[in-house]
Parts: sequence; C-alpha cells; structure tokens
Amino acid sequence: MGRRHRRSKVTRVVNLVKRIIAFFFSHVGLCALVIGYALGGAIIFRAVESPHEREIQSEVTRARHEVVNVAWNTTFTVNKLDRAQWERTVYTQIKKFQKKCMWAIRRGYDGKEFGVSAQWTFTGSFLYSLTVITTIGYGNTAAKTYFGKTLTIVFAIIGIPLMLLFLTNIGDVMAKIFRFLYARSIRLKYKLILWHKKRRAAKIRRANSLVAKLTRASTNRSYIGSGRLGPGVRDDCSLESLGVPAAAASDVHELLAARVHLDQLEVKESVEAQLQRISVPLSLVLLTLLAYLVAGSILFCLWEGWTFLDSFYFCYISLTTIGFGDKFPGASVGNDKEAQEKLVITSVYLLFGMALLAMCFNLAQEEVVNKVAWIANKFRSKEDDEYD
Amino acid sequence: MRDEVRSCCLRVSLISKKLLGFVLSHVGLCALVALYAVLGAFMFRAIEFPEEQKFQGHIINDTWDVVEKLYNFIDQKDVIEEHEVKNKAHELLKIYERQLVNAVNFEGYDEKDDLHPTFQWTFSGALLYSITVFTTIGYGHICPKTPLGRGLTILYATFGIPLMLLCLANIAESLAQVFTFLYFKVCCAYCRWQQKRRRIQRAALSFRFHPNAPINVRRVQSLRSNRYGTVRRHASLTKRGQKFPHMSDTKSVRSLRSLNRYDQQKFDTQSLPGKRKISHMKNIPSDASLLRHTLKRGASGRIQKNNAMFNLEHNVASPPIEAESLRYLTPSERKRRFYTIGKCCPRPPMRRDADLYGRGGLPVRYLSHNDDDRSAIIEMKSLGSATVPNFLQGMGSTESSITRQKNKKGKRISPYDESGGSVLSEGHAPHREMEQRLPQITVSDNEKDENSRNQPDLDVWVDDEFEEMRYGTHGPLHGYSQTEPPTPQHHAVPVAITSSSSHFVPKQPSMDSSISRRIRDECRSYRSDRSDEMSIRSLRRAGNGYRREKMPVSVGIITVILFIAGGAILFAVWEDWNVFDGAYYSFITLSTIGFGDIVPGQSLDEGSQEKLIVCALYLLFGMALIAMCFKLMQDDVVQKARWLGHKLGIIVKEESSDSESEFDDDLVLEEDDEDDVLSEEKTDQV
Repeated sequence: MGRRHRRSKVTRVVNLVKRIIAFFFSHVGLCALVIGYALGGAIIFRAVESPHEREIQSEVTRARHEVVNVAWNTTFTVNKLDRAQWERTVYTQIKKFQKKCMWAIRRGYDGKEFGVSAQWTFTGSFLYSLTVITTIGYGNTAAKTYFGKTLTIVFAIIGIPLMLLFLTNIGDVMAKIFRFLYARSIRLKYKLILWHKKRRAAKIRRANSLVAKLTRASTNRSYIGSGRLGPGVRDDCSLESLGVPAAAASDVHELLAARVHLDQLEVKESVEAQLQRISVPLSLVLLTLLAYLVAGSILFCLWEGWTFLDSFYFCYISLTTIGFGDKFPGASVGNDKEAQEKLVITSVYLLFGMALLAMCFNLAQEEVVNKVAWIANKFRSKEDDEYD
Repeated sequence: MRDEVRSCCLRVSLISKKLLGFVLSHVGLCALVALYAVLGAFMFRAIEFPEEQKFQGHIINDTWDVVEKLYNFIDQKDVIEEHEVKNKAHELLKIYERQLVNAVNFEGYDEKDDLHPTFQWTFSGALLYSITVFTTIGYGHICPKTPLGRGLTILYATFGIPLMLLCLANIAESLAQVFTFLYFKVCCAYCRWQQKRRRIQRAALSFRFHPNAPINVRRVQSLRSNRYGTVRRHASLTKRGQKFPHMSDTKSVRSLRSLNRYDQQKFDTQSLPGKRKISHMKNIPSDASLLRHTLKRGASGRIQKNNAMFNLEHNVASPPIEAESLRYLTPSERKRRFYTIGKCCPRPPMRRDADLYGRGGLPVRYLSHNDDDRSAIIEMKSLGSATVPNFLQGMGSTESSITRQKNKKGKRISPYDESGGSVLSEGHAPHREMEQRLPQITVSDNEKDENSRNQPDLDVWVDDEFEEMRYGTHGPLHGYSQTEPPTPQHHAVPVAITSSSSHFVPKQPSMDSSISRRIRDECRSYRSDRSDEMSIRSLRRAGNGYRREKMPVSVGIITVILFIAGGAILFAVWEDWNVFDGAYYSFITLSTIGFGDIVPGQSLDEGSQEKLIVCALYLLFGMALIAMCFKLMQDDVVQKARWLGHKLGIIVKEESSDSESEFDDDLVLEEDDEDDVLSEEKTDQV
C-alpha cells in the first residue's frame, strides 16, 4: 500500500509511460509489439539491402546483354555454317556470363529480374525479419551488405527474446482458450448424453404409465364385470383394486425417476471429475498440430502446384524452425504481385503456426512432465528395490 | 540400525551405481546423440547420393544446351531478325541463370565442379546435414531432393529434436559445473583476498534484486533502524544509534547495511545457527534425535492433529547416511539430496506453520490448549531461534530446559557454520540475517511488563550462549546481546505497523494478543524464510557444483562472445572469409537461424570434408555452451527482468500489496510441501 501511495506522488507522465509499457507487455500489446518490430525491421532491411540488390541485378542484366550482343555479332562475323566455331565463341561468352552469375549469386542474386521483381520488397523483408526472430532462417533471402549483417545480428539479439516472450504469452492465452473450449465440448457432450437419457427415461415412463392405465382399466372392467355385489361394496373394491396397480405404477415411476436421477448424478459426477482435472489429452494436442500442418500443406499444395509431400515437408521444416529454404512459396511465380501475396500468406501462416506450437507446448508440457516424472519415479524405485 | 548397516555395506555399490548413472546420463546421452547423427548421416547419404550422382555436372550440359538451342533457333530462321534472336537469347539465358542459382544454392555447385566433380552427400556432408536438422539450424545448402529423403527428414527431425534438447539440457548442467568450477578456482584465485568485499557487494546486489524484496526490505528497515539511524518511513521511531542520521531512503539503508556487514557477519554466522538449513546437514544425527524428542514431547497431547509430524520423524532418521554418502554422489544427485536433507530436518516447523496458517482457525485451537502443548508448538516452529527462551520464560513454561538444551545444541553447531558455511552462497547472507532477526522483532511485540519480565530471561539465554561459544568474536556478540534487550521499546511502532497491515486476524477468545501476534509474525517470518530458501535453492541450481557464488551475467555473455570470436577467426583463417563474415556465420549458426548463405567447406574442395566435421563439432559445442550460459544466467536474468518489470511498472500485481506477495509465498509453500512429500517418499523407499 505504501508503494502505491508513493507512486501516486510520482508525476503523471511517468505513470503514463509506465502504463504504456505495461500495455505493450500485455497480450495484445505484445502481439502488436512483435508485429511492429518485424515491420520496423522490414523497413530498415529493405532500405539497407535494396540498393545493393538492385546493383547486383543490374550487373547481371548488363552482363547478359553483353553476352547477347556478342552472340548476335558472332552470327555476322563468323560464317554461319561454321557451327563449331560459332558455338565455341558463344560458349566462352556464356562461360564468362556464368562466372558473373556465380559472383552475383554469392552476393544474393536469385534470378529475379532487375526492375521486375526483387527479394527485398516490403513483404520479402518482412518475411526476412520474421525468419530471423523466429530463428527459422530460410536463407533464400539473406542480408549481404556489412551493415545489413550487423543489423541482422542486433535485430536477432533483441528480437529472439522478444519473440520467445511473445510466444510464451500468446501460447498461454491460446492454451487457456483451447482448454476452455475443450471443457465446453466435454460439458456439451455430457449434456447431450444427459438429455438423451432423460428423454429415454421419459419415454419409458410414458410407456409405463400407459401400461398402468391399461391394467387399471382392465382390472376395473374385470371388477365391474365379475363382482356385481352392490354399489357400496363395489366402490370400496374398486378403490382397493385401483389402489394396488396405481401404487405399483407409482412405485415403478419412483424407481424409474430414482434411476434417472442416479444416472444423472453419475454423469454429472464424471463430468465434474473431468472438469476438475481438465488437462487436454496429449493426443488431441498432437492432432491439432498435425491438422494445422496438413491444412498448411494442402494450402501450399494447391497454390504452388507442389506435391503433397513437398508441401508437407515445407510446412514441417518451417514450423520446426529448421528452415532449409530449398522449397519456398512464391519463388516459382514470375508475377511479382502473386509472389508478394504468397509471401504475406506464408508469414501469417508461420506466425500463427509458431503461436500454435507454443500453445501445444504449453498444453503438452504438464502431461509430458508428469509422464517423464512417473517413468523416472518408476525407474528410481526399481533401482532402489534392487539396492535394497 | 538398518541405516548404519546399509551405510557400511552398500556404500561402495551405491557409489558405483551413481557413477554408472552419471556415465549413462551425461556421456551416454552424448553418445546417443552422436550415434543418432552418424546413423542419420549414413541413412541420408545412402538415399541422396545416387540422386546427386545423377544430376552432378548438369551445369556443363546446361551451358552447351543453351548454346545449341540458340544456334538451332538462328539456324531454323530464314530471316534473321535481331530483335527475335536477342529475345530468344535473353530467355535462354534467364533459364540458365535460374538453373545456376538453384545449383549454387542447393546443390553445392562450384566453378571447380566442372573440372573434377565434388559431391555434397559425402559422409561428412551428410553428417552436417543431420546435425543441422536436429539442432533446427537448417542451413539448407545441403538438402534432400528425393521424396524418400524428405519424408525421412521429417521423421528424423521428429525424434531428433527432443533428443537433442534432452542432451543439451544434460550437457549444459555438467558444463555449467565445470565452468563454474573453472571460473571460481582458476580465474578468481588471485582475487581471493578481496573476496569479502566482493561478497558484500554481491550480497547487497542480490538482496536488492530479490523477488521478495519489498517485504524483506521493509522488515529489514524496521529491524535495522536502531542500528543505522532512522528511515523516513519509520520517522516516528526514537532514534537510537544515530550513526547515520542523514540517511533517509531505503537505498542508502541498504548500502550502508552492506558496508557494515563487515562487523556483523562475524556474529551473524555464529550467534543464531538454528536456521542454518544447509549447514545443519552434518549435524543431523544430533539435531534429528533432538527434534524427535521434542516432537514426541510436544505431540503427546495432540496426536490426532499431526500425522504429518510423525511422517517427518522417520524421515529424520535417514539423513546420517545421506550426509555421509553425500560427497560421493554426483553433483546433481547431491543437489537432490541437499534438498531432501535440507527439507527433512528443519522442515517440521515449516509444516506446522503452513498448517497453522493455512487452516486459519487452527492457531487459536492450539493456543487454547495447555501450556505444554503451546510451548511445544512454538518451540518446534522456532527451532533454536532466539525467541523461544523469551517466550517460554514469559509463559512460565516447564519446558524451558528443553529449549535451553536445544539452544545449546544450536551453539554446538556453530563451529560447523564457520567451516561448512562456505557451502552457502553468500548472496544469502542478508536474508539469513534477516530471518534470524525476525524472531526478535516479534519479541518487541510484547507489552512492556512482559518486556521487563523478558529481560532477565534473555540474559540467561545470553549466558548460555556464552558458555557454549568456543570461537572468538566475543566482543561483537557481547555488544550484540547487550544492545538487544532494549530494542523492544524502540521497535514497538514498526511492529505494530506490520501486524496491523497483515490481513490475517485470528479470533482470539482465550489468549492475549501478543501471543497470537507473535505466532502470526512467526508464520510470516517463516514464510519469508521459505521464499528465501527457495532462492537459496535457485542459487544452488545455478551453480550446483560449486555453490560458493553466483555467476555474474557478464561472464557468460563474455564467454559466448569469445566463442563467437574464436569461431570467426577460425573460419576466417580456414575459409578465407573476412573476420566479420566469420562472426556473422557463427552468430547465425549459434542462434539456430542458419541462413546457409555462408557455409564452410564450400570455397575450398581440398580438405573441405574435415572442415565440415570441425564445423559440426563447433556447432554442437556452441549449442551446448549457449545452453550452459542460459542455465547459468537464467535465475539472475529472471530476477533482473522481474526487477525491471517492477521498475517499469509492468508487474504491478506483486508489488501492489503485501497480501498478494504473501499469496505468492503461499503458492511456493504449497509447491515445496509437494516436493517435501516426494522427498519423503524417496527417503522412505531408500
């Protein structure tokens, strides 16, 4: 309390700043912070790397023009019919061009045409900064200038912990949501079961009452038919005779009701028990992950025209943060706009996938730890037994 | 005793078993990972090598292809148009470029490949590949091309990544041990002589960053103010020792306190040994029997309530073995044992407290019993602490002799504290000190007439202490004990504040408020005590082998930077990169980003295979080193982050009120109790 008191004395500005910082470390704020960080990284990296890339691209283009011109000239200077000589000349030219290409590729050239498309577009650099802070590191786009490399290191040093923080945070929230949904689904399931049982019980009751009515009617009739002793006696008899089956029917009713109630209680208890230790089973968690992977691979399968295995491979390698970068969406498409779209989708997929992975870790952790502890305990006890 | 027999006969087998376990846990796991990597290398090589042989050298063919296609294009045309031919040439060259890019990036194509082809999927290449897979680095410069290879990669990663994580965690632990040992034995040997000063600084630092600092600081302030002048918060206090009248804020209190720890330390380590959990260990036999004795005495009246106590009793019996076999255990084992022991013997009071506090109503019930029971409870709670005699005398209990005896026992322990106290991490000195002081603050809770009664008793206790003291430092102790009695009057105010701020107000129908308050305060002191023990544990976790000191964060960071720099120079020399590229490569690799745009073993074909293996080794060792650094830094970094959070106002909850932090402590307590149960089971099994 004293602290709060003292804090009230502190200037309002400090409070505001604190609040802002605190907001940034809340769930939403952390999300915004990470995305903002990646966006900022994208802008910076683009600014740093884009000129270099354009330079390389223009070099390659120039070299290619040179080759084409030489080839064109040889067509005139060399006798056209002398195929061997023509081919030799052009081959040497292409070899030269190849060397130039190799030089360019080592500096990050990846075949994107100068002026048409580039690696370091905004989306491309956003994906780059994302792969850096998630430590996926595809490597198909990588900083090549010294400044860019230094910046990458700094960016990673700050970004990776931030990303981890974000992932734990968001994983926690998502795990909570998942757990809640799971609990809800279980409750719903049991409610359905209960409802079903109730309905069945009601049906049986109705049938029983019908039977009771019938028997009552029959006994009534029999009494009416057999004993015509007198009106006064008949009344008593009828009452008595009515009483017995009615009592039996009510007994049946009560029994049924009790049974239904018992059933309900049982189910309720089991529900409560389940809700008490509401730990999502490991299989469900793994299934969720697998479903996400499969969904992603189908998505890429359709868009990129890869085989299913290839796209699954891509998704898996990405989400485990291995990130080879040999398969990459958007690389096959010449059209720049489509490629940009694909890059955006890929980054969203990655970000959400990492969050999902964190959630799964969060969910599975407890159970896995429990299991490992159990195994260890068992092992230890066995050891101890031997020892004893 | 069964224990003794076992300790005699089976110690050797125990040691051998532990040794085997060590090998299995550390070396065995490493071997497993290595085996996994080699297996993966063979597998991927077998799958991918034939595929690579097929397309190896396709660039030459592609080059010729381009030439021929262009020639045919020109040849077929009757009229050669410059525009058409140039377009065609551009197109062909573009395709050629793409092929080249693919070949260079993912097939390891090099200019020299045309002369004598080199293969990516050699054994060392495949080894590097499998390592990059299960460390999730994933350079991508070597990657599978066949569907089978890709599918197997998925499987391989699924099993490899958890294995690697397990191995890293394991290796990091042992590496951390070695590293801590090296750091403190080798690097810091020269600065032993000024260790005391450093210790003080560090103690002050770690105290300040302690998670429970808010509570403790307050307590310490209230405790300390008589010695170091007054704090602004407790301005209403009478100024007693006005050595530092200028001091007005908490920081200066702390710093001054830390400065003055020179003279305090001496009697701090000796005067009140009762709560030395770790140093208790070697004295467990005596202490344990004593404890049992008192427990039985105390528990005679209320068997029904403390089954837990009896459980603990036979726990207490096992420690002798533990203490003896302690030094033969592996460090991790030892750590575990430490917990067990540390929990076994001083725990009973804790449990009682937890019970007392947790059930809320219970303290009242206990206290409404007769005197014997009550005193027993208090006695158990404050095992050897200073309050006990006071309290007992004040209550006129018949059991004071026992407590006196126990105090003596405690004193006898004190030599060990001197020698064995080195096991303790110094970061804890202040907390310990605080714990020891806390009972005294509760003394001050008494009314004045009780104080007057207390004073002679306290003197008696001091006399006892003097009798039992075998070591020096009579001077400070004397001063200490003499200054102590008057404190209550001066501390009436802060204590009142503390107790009024506490949310726990028991019903007290049949007893005077001072007792209940004391119990409550003791509860609180123990609970802070618990949290402190937690942090002791975390410290132990940080450097479990050599628990003298905590590793500073800077050392770890410097180590990593040195490792990266070493890698940079190594690769710069070998690969003809410049140093910056080497550093970049090292960083990208060790952070497991792994772009793969720069990878060793590509520029030179001569001996590149060995380089790939060295690269793999560098990589694995680097990962282990980083994991180690994480392990070493973890606690410190978490503490600092939390402190920063407090400072920036991100973590407002814990800071806002006393009750919530107490709640946190509650949680900690519960966890510990669970641990305790587990350890009990373990000891039972043994």
